[in-house]
Amino acid sequence: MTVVASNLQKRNYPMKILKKYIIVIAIALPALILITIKTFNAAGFKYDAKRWSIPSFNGSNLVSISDTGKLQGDKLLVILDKETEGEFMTSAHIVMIPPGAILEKQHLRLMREHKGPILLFSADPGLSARVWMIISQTGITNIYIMTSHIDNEIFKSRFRPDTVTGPEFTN
Amino acid sequence: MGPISSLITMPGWLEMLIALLIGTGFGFALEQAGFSSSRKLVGMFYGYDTTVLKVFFTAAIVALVGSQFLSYFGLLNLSQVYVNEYYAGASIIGGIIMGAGFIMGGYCPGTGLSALSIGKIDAVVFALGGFTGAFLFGETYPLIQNFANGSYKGAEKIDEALGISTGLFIFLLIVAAAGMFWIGELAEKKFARPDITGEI
Amino acid sequence: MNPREKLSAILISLGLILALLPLSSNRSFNARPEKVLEEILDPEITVTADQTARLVASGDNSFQLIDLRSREEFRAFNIPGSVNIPYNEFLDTDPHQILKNGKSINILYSNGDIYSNYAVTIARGLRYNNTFAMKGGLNEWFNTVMNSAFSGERISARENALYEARFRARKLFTEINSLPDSLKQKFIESKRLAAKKLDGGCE
Repeated sequence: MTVVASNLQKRNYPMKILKKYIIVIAIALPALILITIKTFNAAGFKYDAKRWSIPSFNGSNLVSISDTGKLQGDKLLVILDKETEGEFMTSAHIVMIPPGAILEKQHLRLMREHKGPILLFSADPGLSARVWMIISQTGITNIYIMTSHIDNEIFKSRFRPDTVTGPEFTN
Repeated sequence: MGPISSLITMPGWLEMLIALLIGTGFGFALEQAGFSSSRKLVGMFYGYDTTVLKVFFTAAIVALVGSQFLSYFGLLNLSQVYVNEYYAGASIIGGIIMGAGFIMGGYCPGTGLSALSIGKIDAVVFALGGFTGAFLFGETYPLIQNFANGSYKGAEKIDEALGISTGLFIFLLIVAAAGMFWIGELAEKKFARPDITGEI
Repeated sequence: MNPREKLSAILISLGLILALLPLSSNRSFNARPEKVLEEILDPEITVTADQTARLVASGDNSFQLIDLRSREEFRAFNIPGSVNIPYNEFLDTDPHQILKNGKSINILYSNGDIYSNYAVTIARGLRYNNTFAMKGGLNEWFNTVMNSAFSGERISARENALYEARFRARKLFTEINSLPDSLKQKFIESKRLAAKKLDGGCE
C-alpha cells in the first residue's frame, strides 16, 4: 500500500511543481512567446528603427551603376520599375519586383537568403530610397540603392542674395 | 500621456482625465499601504519597518519592466519619458536636506499630501513647512544659483554610465531589490519595536 | 509559495527575458508593414515644388517645412519658415516634437529626393501620417520657382495663378535669405500678417 502511494506521489510531483509555479509560468511564458514572435517575425518591422537606418546616414548604401563592381559577392539586382530598360551587368542575378509586392513572403525570403549584396534600382531615386528604408526595417542588411543620380543630394544651383532691394516691414 | 499618445491621438481633456485617474490610484495605493502613518515611514530609518523600501522598489521595478516590454512592442515611446537631469552637487545637498526633513517630519512630500487628505494635523504643518521651504528657495535662488546649476552631468542613466546593456541592468536591479527585501526582513526582526509596529 | 516569493519569481523571470534583449530608448516602426508600404507608394506622399510654393506664398501658418540638410546649408539659405533637423539626427532627437506640433501637414525637403524620402518613410512608419516629401528638393525648387520664367504669347488663368505663386515665393525666398539672421524671423511674422490682409476677394 505504501509503495503504491509513494509511486503515485512521484508521478504527481511534476504536477505539484507546476501548480506551485503556475502564476509565474502564466506570466513569464506568454511574455517569452510574444518576444520570440516579435524578434523572429520575418515579415514584421524590427525593434529599433535607428539601428536599421544607419547606412542611410552616411550614404554608404548608395552606389553608382559604374561602381557596383566594387561590391564583393554575388549581386542580386532588384528592379522596381516595369519601364526600366537598360544594360546592367550580366553577372548579377536580376529580378523585377513591383514595389507593391516587395513585402510578400517569397520576395523577402529571396532577399534574406541571398548571400551577397542586394541592389535596388528605380529610375526615381526617391522611390528606391523609400523601398530601401522599408526593407531595411524588416532586418535585411547588405542592401544598396543603385542609382545613376549618385549626386542627387548635391545642390546644383546657386543662390544669389539680393541685398539691394530690402524687404518691407509692415507692422 | 505623451508616450501612448504617439499611438492614439487623444484630446487634451482625455489625457488630463487619465492623469487624474492615475494620480487617484497612486494616492489610494499610498493610503492603503499605510503611508499616511509617519511611524511607518520613519521605520525605514530606524529599521523596524521596511515597507517603504518594498512598496516603492516593487512599484519602480514593475514600472520599469512594464515600460521596457511595452517599448519593445512599439506601444510606448520611451524617448518621450522625461529623464531627470543630474546636477551632482545639488543632488547631494538636496538629498541630505530632504532626508533630514523626512526623519524629523515623518513624511516625504507625496506621503505628506496623502496624510493631509485624511486630515492629520502634523501633515498640515508639514505641508506648510514644505511650501515655506519652496518659497525660501525661490527667494534665495540668486544666491545659490551657481551651486544649484553646477556639476551638471546631463540626463544620465546608470546603465549608460556603467556601460552595460539596459536589459542586463534591469535584471541586476531586480536581483539587488530581492536581496534588499530579504535584508530588510532581517532588519525588521532585529530592530523590532513591538510597541510601535503593533499599533500601525 | 507565498505572494512575495511569487512576485519575486515573476519579476526575476521577466528580468531574465529583458536581459537577453537589445533594449534601447530608440523608436521602432509601430505601424503595420503593409500599411506603411501602401502609404509610401501612394503618389500623394510627395508634394511638388509648385504646391510648396503656393503654401509659402499664401502666408498659411498651418503647415510646417522641415529642412533635412546640414546646419551650415540651412544657415546659408532655406525655404522661409523652415525648421532644421539634419537627416542624420532625425532619429536622434525624437521627431515627435516637430511632427506632432499641431500643424496640419509637415513637408520634408533636402537638396534632392533621397533624404526626404528616407525621412518620410521613417515618419510614416512611426505613424505620423501628415508627413510628405517635396519632390526634387531644393534642386527642383530652384528650377521651378527661382528660375521660372513664362514664355509664350498668352497666359491662361491657371498658368497666371501658377506663375504668380512662384513669383511671390521667389520674392519671399530671396528677400528673407538675403537678410542678416537677426532680422529673418521678424520679417517672416510681418510678411504673414501683410499677406493675410491683402488676400481678400477671389483667388
